[in-house]
Amino acid sequence: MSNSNWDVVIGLEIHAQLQTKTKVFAGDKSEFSSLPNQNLSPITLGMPGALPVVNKTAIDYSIKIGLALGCDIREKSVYARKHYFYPDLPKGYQISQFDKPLCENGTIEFSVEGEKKKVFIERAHMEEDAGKSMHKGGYSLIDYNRAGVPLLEIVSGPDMTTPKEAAEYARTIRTILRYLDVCDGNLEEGSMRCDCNVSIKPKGQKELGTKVEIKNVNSFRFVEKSLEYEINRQIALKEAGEEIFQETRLYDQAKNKTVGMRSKEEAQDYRYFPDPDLLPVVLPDGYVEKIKESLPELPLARGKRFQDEYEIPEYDASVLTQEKEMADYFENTVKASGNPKASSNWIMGEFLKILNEEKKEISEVKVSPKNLGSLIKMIDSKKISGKMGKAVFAEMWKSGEEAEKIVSEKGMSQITDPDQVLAIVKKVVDSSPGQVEQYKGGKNKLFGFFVGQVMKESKGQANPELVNKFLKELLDT
Amino acid sequence: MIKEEELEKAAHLSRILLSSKDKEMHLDQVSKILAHFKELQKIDTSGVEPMVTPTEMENVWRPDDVDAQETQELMDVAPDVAEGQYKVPQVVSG
Repeated sequence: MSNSNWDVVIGLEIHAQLQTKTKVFAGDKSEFSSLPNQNLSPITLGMPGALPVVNKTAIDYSIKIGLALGCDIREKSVYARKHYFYPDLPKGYQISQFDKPLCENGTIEFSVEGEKKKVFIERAHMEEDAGKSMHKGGYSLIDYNRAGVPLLEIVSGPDMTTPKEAAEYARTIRTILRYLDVCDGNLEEGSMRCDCNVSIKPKGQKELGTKVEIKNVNSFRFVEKSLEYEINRQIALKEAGEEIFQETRLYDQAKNKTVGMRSKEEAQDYRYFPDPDLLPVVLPDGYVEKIKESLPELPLARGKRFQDEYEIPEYDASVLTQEKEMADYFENTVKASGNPKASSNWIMGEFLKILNEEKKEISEVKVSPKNLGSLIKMIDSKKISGKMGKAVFAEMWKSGEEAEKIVSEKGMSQITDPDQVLAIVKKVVDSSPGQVEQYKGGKNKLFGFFVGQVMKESKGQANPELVNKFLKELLDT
Repeated sequence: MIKEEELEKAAHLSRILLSSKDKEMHLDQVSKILAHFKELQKIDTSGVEPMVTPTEMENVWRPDDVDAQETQELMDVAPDVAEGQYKVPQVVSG
């Protein structure tokens, strides 16, 4: 089985749950509730005569996302009914948008293994979420808490050619959603859902192959893995002379494979038409511009600014701008330390290492950017050594105390008084006559032994440069 | 004219069960409706923007405020409930 004879075409449909207080067409809470059926209304249940009214905040959030994805925002958009039968959809149709979506024709940019990649955003349309069904033997139970929660479905062009690109695209969308603070982008909990469309065609052929949709992918790693599996499956089928059916397949993460979900003997026929219960959304003059002004600096732009303003490498800039909180933390640390490169090194090194080890969020970290900045300053001004800095940082992480306080309380500050250092060096040299003789006899490696002894004697506090200087003076003459 | 298979497909999509007597009646009625629309389709509408709603209104939006919930009442009207959820016939087999 080889990839080299086939072109792969991947497009993603990402559903982003908007963090409004209420549902998109009804005033029941849209928050996650542990108890089923707490957030209900006649509108959510599709009772006869109940009329939906659109939530202004849901429109605003959708426009925000559209703008951040570089989309045109349609002046007049229309809600449509998408019909299908399933008990988690009480009305018998889902309110969505069809031929007149709110946002269309955008692009986003990201890099995959150092290569720049651009992906076209065909559209982003508003719709309502369905309820949740639980299948018991012989019957099913339905919870409508989620029914009617606002979603924005972001549809990419068929622009990706590898599973890695697809996963990176999804990560980029998530980062943008979180920057905008309109969706928490949690794949595991389903507040962001990712359907992957994938097809293959003989290398160089223009006409697209039959596409398969993969659902139930709840992490970026699984976006990649499920696509890898599916591409191999399709290639194997084709190379065995078999046909690929257009179908929806579920990803089984435990078995790392995709499984056919519903037979397509009957093609989907959603019978879309404009929803007569809802009025078109006509955006007044200046409405979109006002939202545009409220947009935060987006990750890509912020990363570029970090490179220019702080002169840090592209890689650092992209890691630091992955999360808005992280980028804010970095900028505040720079403000306090006056040293961008050291700030970046500390955050990408010790900081992220412990953060990931302890699986913490930045908001839970006790070390304030100001305190990390002071720690960096103390190292830069040689009050403490870099090595001591790490020990101080570990203390700060635990207690949240200021670096200065920890250093003075634990007597950790560096000994920079030449007389004091010289005294310690002399003491060490005098008490090791055997080693001195060997050293003078040509065993240069022993220099390290003396440095170690001095550091031990000074509890790591002697200024390393002075130690080297005095040791050389005493031993090499 | 509508063919019987087309009528059956439309009925199936809407999960409506038709007896052979129903079918006869609907074939006749739907065919008449379609004939009427065929007549309407003769009108030249080029240049006319498709109408979404006959009302003059637009942009009836509501603020993102929570309304009082009527959870219990809305559970009570259900034909069958279990474990605080609506109970429906088996959806997925197996």
